[in-house]
Parts: sequence; C-alpha cells; structure tokens
Amino acid sequence: MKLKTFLLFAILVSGLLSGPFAAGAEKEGKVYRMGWLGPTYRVFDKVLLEELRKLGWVKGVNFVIEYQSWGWKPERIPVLAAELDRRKLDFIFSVHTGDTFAAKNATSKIPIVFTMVADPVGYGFVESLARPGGNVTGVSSNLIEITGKALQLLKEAVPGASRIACLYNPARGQLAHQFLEKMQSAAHTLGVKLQSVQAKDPKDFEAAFKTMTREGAQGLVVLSSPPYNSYVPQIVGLALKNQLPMIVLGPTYWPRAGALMSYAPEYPHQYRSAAHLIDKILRGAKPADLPVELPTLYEFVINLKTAKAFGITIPQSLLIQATEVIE
Amino acid sequence: MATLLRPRGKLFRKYVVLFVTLVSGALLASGLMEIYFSYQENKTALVLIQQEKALAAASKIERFVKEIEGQIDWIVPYSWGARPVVLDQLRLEYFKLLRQVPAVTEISYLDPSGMEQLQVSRLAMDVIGSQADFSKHPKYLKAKSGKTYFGPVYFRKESEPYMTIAIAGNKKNAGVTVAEVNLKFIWDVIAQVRVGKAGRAYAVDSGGNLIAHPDISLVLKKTNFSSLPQIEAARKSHSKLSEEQEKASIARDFQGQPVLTASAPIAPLGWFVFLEQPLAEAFEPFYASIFRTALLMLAGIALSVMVSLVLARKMVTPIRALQDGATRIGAGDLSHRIQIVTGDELETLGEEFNRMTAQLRESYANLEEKVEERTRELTGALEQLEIASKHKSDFLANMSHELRTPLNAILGYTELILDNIYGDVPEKIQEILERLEQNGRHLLGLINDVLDLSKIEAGQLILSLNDYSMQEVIQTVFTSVESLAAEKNLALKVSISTDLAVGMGDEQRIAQVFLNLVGNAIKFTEEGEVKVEVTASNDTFLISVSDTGPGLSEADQKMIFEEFRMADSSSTRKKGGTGLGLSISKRIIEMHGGRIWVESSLGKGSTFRFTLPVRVERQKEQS
Repeated sequence: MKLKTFLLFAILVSGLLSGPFAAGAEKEGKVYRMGWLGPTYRVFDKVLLEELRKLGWVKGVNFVIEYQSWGWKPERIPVLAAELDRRKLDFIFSVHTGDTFAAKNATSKIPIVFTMVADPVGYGFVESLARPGGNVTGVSSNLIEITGKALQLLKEAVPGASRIACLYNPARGQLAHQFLEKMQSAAHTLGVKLQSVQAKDPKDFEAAFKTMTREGAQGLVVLSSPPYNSYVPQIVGLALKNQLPMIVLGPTYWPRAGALMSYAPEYPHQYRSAAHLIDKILRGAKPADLPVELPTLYEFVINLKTAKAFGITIPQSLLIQATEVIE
Repeated sequence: MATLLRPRGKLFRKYVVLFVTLVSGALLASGLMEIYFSYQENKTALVLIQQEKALAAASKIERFVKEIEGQIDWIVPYSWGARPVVLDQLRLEYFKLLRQVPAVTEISYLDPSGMEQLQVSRLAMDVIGSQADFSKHPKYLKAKSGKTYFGPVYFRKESEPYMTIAIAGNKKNAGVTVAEVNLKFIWDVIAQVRVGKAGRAYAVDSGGNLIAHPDISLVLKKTNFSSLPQIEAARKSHSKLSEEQEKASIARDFQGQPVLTASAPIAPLGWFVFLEQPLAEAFEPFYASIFRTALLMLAGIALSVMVSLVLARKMVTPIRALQDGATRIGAGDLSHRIQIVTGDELETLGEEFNRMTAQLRESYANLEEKVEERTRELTGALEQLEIASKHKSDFLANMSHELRTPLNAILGYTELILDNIYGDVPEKIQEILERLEQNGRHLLGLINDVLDLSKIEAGQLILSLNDYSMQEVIQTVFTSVESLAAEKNLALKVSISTDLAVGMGDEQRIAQVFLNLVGNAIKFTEEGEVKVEVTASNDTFLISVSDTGPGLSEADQKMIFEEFRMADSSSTRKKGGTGLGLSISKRIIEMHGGRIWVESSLGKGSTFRFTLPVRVERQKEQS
C-alpha cells in the first residue's frame, strides 16, 4: 500500500507541476502568407525583414513572401483581385500609392499595410489617419506637406532662380494635383514662377527635360514615385546634362546617385514602423484600429560634388540644416 | 503491506487521525504563516520596485523635456533685447536647434511685444515677419513672466501629439522662443520601460489624456484614461504637492485587468507616468512560492499519513495482541500465550500477562483437583449419610413396628378385659385397667408420632389425595375433643364460611393437623375458649385456630415448629408431649403446598394460622 500511495502521489505531483509549464506554450506552426505588392526596385525590403525578424517573424520560417509588381494599372485590378484570392494571402504589404490603390480595390478583407504613400486619406485608403476604419493601414510619407519646404530649400541653394520646374507623374492622379497645388502656393510665396512638367514613362524623361530647359527653368523639384525611382541614374544624368539643380522629394539614393539635394522622410524608419504594424496585425489586431503613422525624421541630403559641378555654393543655412552631406 | 489497511478498530484510527492532524496542523500553520509573510514582503518589494521604475521613467521624460528646454534656453540669448535681433542669425541658430533636437518640429520667435517675427519648420517653409499677434497668448504671457511655458498636448492632423514650449530671454526686452515638440519621441522612453514581462509604462497629461503608451495607436486615438481610479488618485494626491512617494496600489487597467500600478509625477508639466504590471505576473514568483509551499505541505501531509499508519500499526498491534490474548484467556483458553516482541513496556506487560495466565492455569488445575477430592469426599459422606439416614428410618420403622406390636397387644388385651370378655372385672381393677389403657394409648400416640416423623423424614409419607369437606373434617375433630374441652370448661367455637368449596387433599392428615392444633390449644388453655375459623379466598383455605391461653413469647414462636422442641416453661413440661406434633403438622401443611405460622403474644393467647390450597393435585416434595 505504501508503494501504491507513493505512486499515486507522484503522479498527482507531476501533473500539478506540468500545468504551469504547459501554460507557457505559444501558438506555433502557422506559416503566414505575405503578398508584397510593389515595384521590383526594392531598396528597403531588407530593413523591413530585419525588423520583422526582431519581432519574431522570420522569412521562410513563419511567413513567406509572394512578390507582385503592379504599379498603376487600374483597369486590371479585377485580375489582381482574383490573383490575391487564389494565393490565399494572410496580409498584403504594399509600396507606393499605385499598388496600394490596386490592393485596396482588389480586396476589402485581406489586411493591407502600406508604405511610401503620400496621402492615404486623400486616396481613400483610410477614413482618417487616427482611425483607418477599413482593412488598410500603414505609414504615410507625408510628401505633400513638405513640398513647399523642398522648394524653399532649392531656392535657397539657387537664390537667383526665378523660374523653377516641377516634375511629376500624372498617372498619380489627385496626388499630382495636390503636389502641383502646393507647389503653386509655395512658388507664389517665394516669388518664383512655377513650370509643371509631366513625365509618365522613361521615354518621357528626355522630352520633359528638354521642355524644362526650353522654358528656362533654373531649378527642378521632383516628386519621386515609380517609375522615377527605377530610373534614378537617367534622371540624374539628364538633370546634370541640362544643368538643372534638382531637389528630389524622395529617398536618399537620389542625391547619392548624383542629384543635388533630396528632402524626404527617413524611409528605413518608415519600413520599420510598417514592420511593427505587420507584427500587430499578425498577432490579431485589426487594421481599422491601427492608426496611420507619420514620419518623425526627415532627411535633407546635399551632394556637394554635384553642387560643385553646377558651380553652386551651398549657403551655411542649408549646410546647417542638412542631415547628410555628400562630398 | 495489505495488512496495513485491515480494519483495526478505533485505537488505530485514533492514532492515525491524531498524528496526521498534529502534523498537518503544524504544517498548515507554518505554511500559512509563511505565505502571509511572504505575501507582505513580496507586495512591499514589488511596490518599491514599481515605484522606483515609475520615478525613473518620470525623471527620464522630465529630463527629455528639460533637455529641449535647455537647448532652447541656450539659443535664447540671441533673442535678448539688448540689440535688435538679427533674424538671419537667429534663423541659423534655429536650424542648429532643429538639427540637434529632432523632437522639435517648429521654432518661432516672438518679439518683445508678442508678434511673431520668424518661424522655422521641418515641414513648412520658413515664415519671416508674419507679425502674427500672440501677445495675449498664454505661451507668450507665461514665458514673459519668467517661467517656461509648457503647453497642453494637442494633436496635429488628428494623429500626432505635440506640445508647445515657450521660453523668454531674461532681459527686459527679450523676446520669446516658441518650440513645437513632437511627443512621439517620448514614446521611445515609455516604450522602453519594462516591468517584468508584461508590465508597461504610460504617461498621461494633466487632463488624463494619454500622451505615451507602448501601444502607439491608443495615443493616436486620443484615449483618455481619466476614468481609471488610479489616475484620479494620482492627480488628487499630487495636487497637494506632497513630497512623499506615492504608494503603488492594485487597480484595474484600461482593459479591466487587475494590475499593480505605481505612478510618479512629472511636475513642471503636470503629467503623470504610470507603471502597470499585471497582478498575475507581479505576484507570479509569489504564486510560485505559494505553489511550492502548498506542494511541500501536501508532500509533508502525505508523508505524515504514511508514517502515522506505520507508527499506529506499531503501537496498536501489541495492544491488540494483549486484548486478543486477554479475551482468549478470559474465555478460558489458558494455554494461549501472548506474543509481543516490541522490546518495551508492552512486551513486559505481555510477559506479565503470560505469567499470570500460567499461574491461573496452575491454580485452576490445583483447584480442580481439590474440588474433585472434596466432591469425592462429600459424595462419600453424603452416601454414608443417606445410608445412615436410611438405616435410621428403617430402624425407626422397624422399631416402631416392634414397639407397636406388643403395645397393641397390651391395649388389645386391656380392652378385651375391660369388655369383660374374660369374666367380670372388679371395679378397682377396672379403674386401673382404664388407666393402663390411657397410658397405653398415649404411648401409642407417641410411637405414631415418631413413626410419622421418621416416615416424613425418609420421604416416605405419601399423601392420599381425595375430595373432602372441610366442614366434615372439623366436625370429626370437634367430636374427638369435645370431652377434653368440656373437662376444662373451655368453649369450642367454630366459624366456617358457608359456601366453602370441596377441597382436595389427604383428609386424614388434615384432620391430624386440626387435631394437633386444637389439641394443643385445649391442652395449654386453662380458661376461655378455642376457636376455629375457616375461610377461603383465591383457591386457598385460610384456617385459624385461636385460643385464650397464656400465649407464646417471641423466642418460643421461633422454635415451636422445630422437631423435638416445645415451648420452654414449667407448664409445658407438666403437660408432656413429644414435641413432634407441630413439626409434623408443618410438614403435612407444606406437603399440601400450604403454610403455617403463629401469631401470639404473652398473656394474650395464640392464634395458629395455616393456608391450604383448596385443590391439591400433587403433594409437594419435601425440601
């Protein structure tokens, strides 16, 4: 009987002890399917993956990515919708407005996280920045708001310029519109004349620059977007060729490639924020409840080499403001 | 080990229960005390830690704000009133500030009269000389009063928390520098605060609005925590500007979960930092220790149960052996030996028992022998007595017969002579012959008495049970004694119930009894009367023979029914008699199943009473 009692007791105890340990086990096993909608020219994806890994999401282990380049093809959105359905995606990460627009219209169920979208409210991706309200949330690049500032920075670099051109992609719809509006009022404030030039495809670039030079532009503000971001060297080369001091509302790889200046949010930070949003969604949060984040850091990069090539002396006031100076 | 569970009666159970209760009680008591103290200690420690962390976080935020303030303060001299502010210079300084303090999104300069002269921004274009009038604005007024202005938290684009800080130069004509601070940077401070695994910090402004929270979305949603009691409490107590540290307390968090919460103020701003840790997690080590203690207690109790079973068994088994042994011995099995080998007092007791049993056995054996001997002796003696008695009876019977035969002859012949069978008998000789006859009859009576008694003693007196009439019997008796009574001038009275039933018994012997009693009464009474009363009740005759004689003393009353005894007085000696009459009467009555006794007192006469069952079917054996 002693033995029996002891055995019973031992079983009881081990059962009790295993309880708390068992409680700590996490839900494992599911491999999430992520759809990456964006241009093939991916610069910051490593940033996203690194941040996801820090949060516990390892590509290939608990999630996989299916890349899909889309761009501005509104007429083919139903095709995309069918595609997304077929692939049974758990969530979508979309880069730039065009792809986000397509994704938003292709599905209202699959959660979507966007980055590099300048105006999510304007395009109807979200109801408001604080309460998106739908299946879409993400990180806004806020480019429209800093448009004026960019123009001012350029004007400070080229104080004598009285005519400044701005280059944009008309396919971006109302975004372009807002961009232009902002540019107009900024130009007005600064007392310069604005020349708006469109370029949709790479084949338009040359013509666009020709127009600019023809019209006597002394500076250029570029609103970056696909496909521009894929043709940085070309545009930079053209600017150089045409002796157009250029400030790009885009990532730092522009000035690194030779553009005179760039002013834009710090994009890696945007991707990191996006990773946090993805993490929250994968853990069960709804996009409707996750506010859209705005940039906290802005980068002002000056390429002094280009400046020298243009014969421009960058004033102290600009140098002080620059977050990075390329020699 | 199956024997361990055999029902052992109450002693075993008692011991087990007692032992288990004692140990369990002790364990429980100590365990509970430990838990209680441990709880207190834990709580105190947790509270302290929580409080420390809250203070640390609060001071971090305070430092962050103060740093910005400091930075702004640093460039403020440029806005001193000594000489007119050179806006370009100021602008450059502002750019420097923007570079150094990423949290500041906008800086603007208000001239000494409160007009905005310069605005520099990360987002918007510089605004120079706007002349916007802020002279009535609190930021201007407060700054001018010499204190740093910390504005309320407001949201840009509905989603970005901002705060205005305004500082004035300390010269009389100094202007005011106003900075818009993006509070998202505070989030980093808050987000990095960790308490355990799930504990988090958050900050609220003086209005209870959430300023910073690990979950940014809550802040962007402009959540207000005022409803939480701990916020209320913090605001109340801090408004007293007490230097005392706040005690951490237990409350429910935003989502209703119980948490351990501590708070610390960020005084200049009127904000509060709260540190909350889920209660379950905070007390986890405590719960773990309780669990451990409980387990140990259980283990201890289980162990004590097992040990108590063993101990109780050890204690009860020898006692049981004693009990069994005693029972067996008590029941007569004196060959049983109690086996106890515990090496203690119980073993000694067992041995004592055995020794006692052995002695008992011996004694019994001896006793039995002696009893047998005695019995043999007694049997022998009894046999001899019986034989002797039989001899005696035989002898008596023989002797009576031997005695009676010649006596009958004497009486017979005397009667014959008196009947003049052998010729006329002269008168003188007649008298003598009559006296001879009297004596002879008397002798015969005596011999009869003796014979009766011996018969009775030998158990050979047989009653001849037949129907009789009490009346007739008495009549017969009276007839016999009439003359005797008349001689002594005694009245003979008789009182018989009228409807007396017919009795069943030995008529002759009953008559004999009457004769004896009445005869005695007449013999011993000198004057008065002799009265016989007969009644019946409940199938029993009640007879009384009373006289007006001298009565009997107490002592005499006691012994008159004994054989050969007579009342001891000179008169009785004179009367003569064998002394057998009453004893014979007693025997006869008792053989009928009745009882005889006397009621008398000296000088007042005597009444002999006896009962007689009406119908006697069988004579009672003589005891």
